[in-house]
Amino acid sequence: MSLALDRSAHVAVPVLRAGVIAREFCRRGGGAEVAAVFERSFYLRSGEEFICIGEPAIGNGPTTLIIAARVAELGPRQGQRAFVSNRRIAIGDLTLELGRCQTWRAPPWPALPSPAVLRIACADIGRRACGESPPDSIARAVFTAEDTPLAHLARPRVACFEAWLRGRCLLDAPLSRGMTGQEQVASAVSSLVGLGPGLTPSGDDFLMGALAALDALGQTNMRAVLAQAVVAAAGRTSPLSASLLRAAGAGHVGENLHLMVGALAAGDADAAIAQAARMGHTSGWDALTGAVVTLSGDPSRTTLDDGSLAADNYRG
Amino acid sequence: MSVIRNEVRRATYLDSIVLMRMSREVAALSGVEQAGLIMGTPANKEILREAGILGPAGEQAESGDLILALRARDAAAAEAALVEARRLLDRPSALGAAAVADAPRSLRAAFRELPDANLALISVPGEFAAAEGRKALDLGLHAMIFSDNVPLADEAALKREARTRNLMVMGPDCGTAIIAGVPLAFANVVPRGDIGIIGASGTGIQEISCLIARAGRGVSHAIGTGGRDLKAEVGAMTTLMAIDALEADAGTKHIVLVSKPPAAEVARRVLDRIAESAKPFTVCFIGASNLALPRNARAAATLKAAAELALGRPLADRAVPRPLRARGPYVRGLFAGGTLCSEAQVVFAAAGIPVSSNVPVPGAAALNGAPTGHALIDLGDDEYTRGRPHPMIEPAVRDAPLAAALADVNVGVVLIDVVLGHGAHLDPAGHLAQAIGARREGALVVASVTGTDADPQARRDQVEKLEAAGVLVADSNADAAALALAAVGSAHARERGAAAQ
Repeated sequence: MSLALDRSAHVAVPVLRAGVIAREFCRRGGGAEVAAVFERSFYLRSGEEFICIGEPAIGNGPTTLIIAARVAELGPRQGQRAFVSNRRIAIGDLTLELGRCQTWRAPPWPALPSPAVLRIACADIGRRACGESPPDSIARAVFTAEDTPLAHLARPRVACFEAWLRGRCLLDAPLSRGMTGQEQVASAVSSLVGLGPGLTPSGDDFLMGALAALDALGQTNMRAVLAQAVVAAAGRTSPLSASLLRAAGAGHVGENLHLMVGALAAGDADAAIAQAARMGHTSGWDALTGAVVTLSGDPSRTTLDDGSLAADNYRG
Repeated sequence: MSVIRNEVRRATYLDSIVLMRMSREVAALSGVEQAGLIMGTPANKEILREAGILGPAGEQAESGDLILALRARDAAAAEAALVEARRLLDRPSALGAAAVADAPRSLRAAFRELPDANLALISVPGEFAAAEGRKALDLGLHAMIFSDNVPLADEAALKREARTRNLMVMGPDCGTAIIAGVPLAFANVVPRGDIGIIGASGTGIQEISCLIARAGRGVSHAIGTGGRDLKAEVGAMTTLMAIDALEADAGTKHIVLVSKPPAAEVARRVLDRIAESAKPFTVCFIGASNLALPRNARAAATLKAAAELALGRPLADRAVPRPLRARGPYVRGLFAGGTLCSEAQVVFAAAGIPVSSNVPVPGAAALNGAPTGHALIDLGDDEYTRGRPHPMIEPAVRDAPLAAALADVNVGVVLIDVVLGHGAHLDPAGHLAQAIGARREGALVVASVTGTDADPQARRDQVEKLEAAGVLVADSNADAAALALAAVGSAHARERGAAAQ
């Protein structure tokens, strides 16, 4: 029996939730192209911007539209043209209806526990990374002495990044020698961006975790400096990952990352690790490593950068 | 002399897990010494350069390109690896195109294509599953709903509606069924026979059906009910319909019912229905005790016992190949199958050994935080699988907890299950053997393999791979749990003795 009638039939699918950047992408409207198709999501690209369209199970995100359908049944194809407007997205005979979609925003960060609790959680994650993180993640470079090509390159770059976080030059880190703080972070960031395996390279995930952690700490000044460096270096990674870095630089991260950093910032290492394990292949642990490196210093010292937030955010 | 080859795919984005799998598959090809599959960013080109596998083509790649870089022992091996790598890289898009071209987009369209169908298998996000189930009922189809996260009220309403139409809804969260010899979703290739199975548990059905098959008998039908059918809110609607169906089926001589312990009033209703039947039953409510059964039913504490009662004879135990002496006092169970995890807890409880689990059966303690003591973990539970593949599909999910258990000096035995069949990973034993590695000391690894030689993975081959990696393979999951306990027995006694001093 022929399926021709069904294939030509118009399929309308409601969009349930839209992240703020994805919503803006639609408001601007215009042409786009299906850039990538995965099992439960696909990506539209317009210029340098990407938005992800996916099933509820992938989680909300700033660049994500959550739809009420299975992607496999919609059958988007890479290279297909899409027409985007404030009310709907048309891709072939598929229409994504935006009329009733809600805008998703990440909830506020939890109040921070005492610095001691935070340090214990970070140390616990560092210990457990040896056995639980994927062997090809940046966590192995940071928390173990394993010597892989990624670890060999990542280790001094992360050390340089840490040195910037601690507000001093690490004299034995070759990349940081003689640099000012801003040069130092720009150098560390540009060498981490695009580094490592995965659709979003490990270095990108690491930096997204670091940005989220600074946000959770209320470190607005440091976050702004890091964001500037990240956005400036975004051209060194894949265009898709660059759009996520720019979103993170603007203060928007996905729900899964937010939950993970929120758990860590609340001192719950178990929950943070469990959340990390759910995110991609290495992405979760890469981002968790960035957050741990950022949070594992003495928080009372790092709050000097923005002391007014310390009293608001810390308890105990 | 080694040869380096690079292939660049322009503006190609693949899921990270797909990239990782492809990378591993290429690296494992014959003659390949090293391989990498990563985005062509400047930093990644440094990695490949440092590893000595970046060639001129890779140097030209841009950040949005995908680089496949490999070093092989000679030109022929490199060429063969590239051919295979191209096939792997082409496969996702090829499969996608095929799916778009061939797959009907709705149940109605599928039914028009296959008008003789009498059952719809539904696997959609949970919030839409009930609606799809109703569409199936409207078309006069029985429904097997693989989806989970369906509201309980929707499940009850759907089953009520189905019952009025004399149709059966298997599920939601029904992962396994074998109807008239046809395995559906996660199921094994077992011969037809005269034993019918009704199960609220996927791996429970799989273990029992495979033990029956390996004992030379067969299964008439295995009907999955979904994990919540025996809850009070649902009232065993599917279970009762399945009993009716198997009772009416002339090919079914004995019926096995397997589930977690049901709500008391539901258990009464089911047992009353069994009492009305002319056929013999085996009832395996994993973890339940003191069941008052009708005369035509016998209770089985474990899945193995259920298979034995259905077969009418005990299953043979393989001799343990060598005296076992574990280095540490505790067993760490890392399970892909939830019911297999429950069965192991029952074995521990029967031996009077305290045990904790993230899915505790009555009598076991709830596992909070990092595992200590005897701990049996269901890695297929929601807390481990939200947003990730199930360990039966992707055995790498078990890698990290396995490495942690092997490194823990208090762990004397790591107890694992390997589940084969349709839907499961094509070589779970091969993956495990690689993860366990060539160890001369450390924790013993004891495994069971749920499957048959007729499964796509061939149980015989999987057992061989595990044994070659030093894993002790028991004949059943219950035997594996007992073997693990026996192995830590002496170490446990030593530990308790030391604690008492």
